[in-house]
Amino acid sequence: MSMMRALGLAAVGALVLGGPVAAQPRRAEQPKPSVRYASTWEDALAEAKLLNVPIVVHSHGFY
Amino acid sequence: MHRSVLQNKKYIEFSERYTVEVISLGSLEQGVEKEDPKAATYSAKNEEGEDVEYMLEFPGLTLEQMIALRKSPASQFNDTGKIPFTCLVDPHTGEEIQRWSGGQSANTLIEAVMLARRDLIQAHGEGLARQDLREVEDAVADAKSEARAGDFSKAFRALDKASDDDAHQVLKDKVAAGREAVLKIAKEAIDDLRELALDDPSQAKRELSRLKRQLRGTALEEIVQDAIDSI
Repeated sequence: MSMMRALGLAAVGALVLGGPVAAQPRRAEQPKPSVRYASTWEDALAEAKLLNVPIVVHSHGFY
Repeated sequence: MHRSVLQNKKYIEFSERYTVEVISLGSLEQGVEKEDPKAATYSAKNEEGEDVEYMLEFPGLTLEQMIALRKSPASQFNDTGKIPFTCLVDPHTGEEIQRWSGGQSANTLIEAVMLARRDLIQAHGEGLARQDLREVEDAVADAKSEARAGDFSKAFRALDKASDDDAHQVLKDKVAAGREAVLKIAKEAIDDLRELALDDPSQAKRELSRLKRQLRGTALEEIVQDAIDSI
């Protein structure tokens, strides 16, 4: 099992432990061009070390 | 901020070369519960070939991954209680390099990243080029995809193309891991054909013979032959 998949499953587990989200997101069209996001903090650290580039952390709110 | 930076063409191209991007988004669950259009998803396949739903506003990330990111150390940098907030982080130390509270232009971030990168290079030397990393990752993903589709010849060709004796060890390790993954899928295919042989030995033998040709020279060649001989 890949680290990404393991972390994904761990995230789902954490969701279950913390209480499931009541509704599933709506499905829609294809996404607009966007930066490529790291899927986990650990992946971000590993890739940024390898490339020797800074991590840019964006802290936003949904609303 | 979202459109002016994260969906900005110039910043997207810049970030492909010079940054790793992390998003920590608050109040996502409320948006999902209220079925807000911004919480919409789109269907795609992940690197394991599984069907997934990614967030439309944050391509390549699932809802679960975004929630996990918000609970990760990434969210701990914003101690202002306000959003938006942006910071640069040194990946070697995990320490913050620079921060901005409130919206920032793409150009401001680009200038700051270039300065931070200069210091990182002085301290640690040039890193791997992302293009080289992507080429290997794409080759491994292609190889797994071909293997899952049952074409192991194409899978090994994709990996052979990505192999380079002079490459960075990390890239060599990724290709090696990809080869192991393809062999694991092949082993599962052999096991499935052993099962098939119980019901349809002729078909299983034909399929195993085809598989044997594709796995020639690998550690599984002998195992396929054993499976053929056992029918």
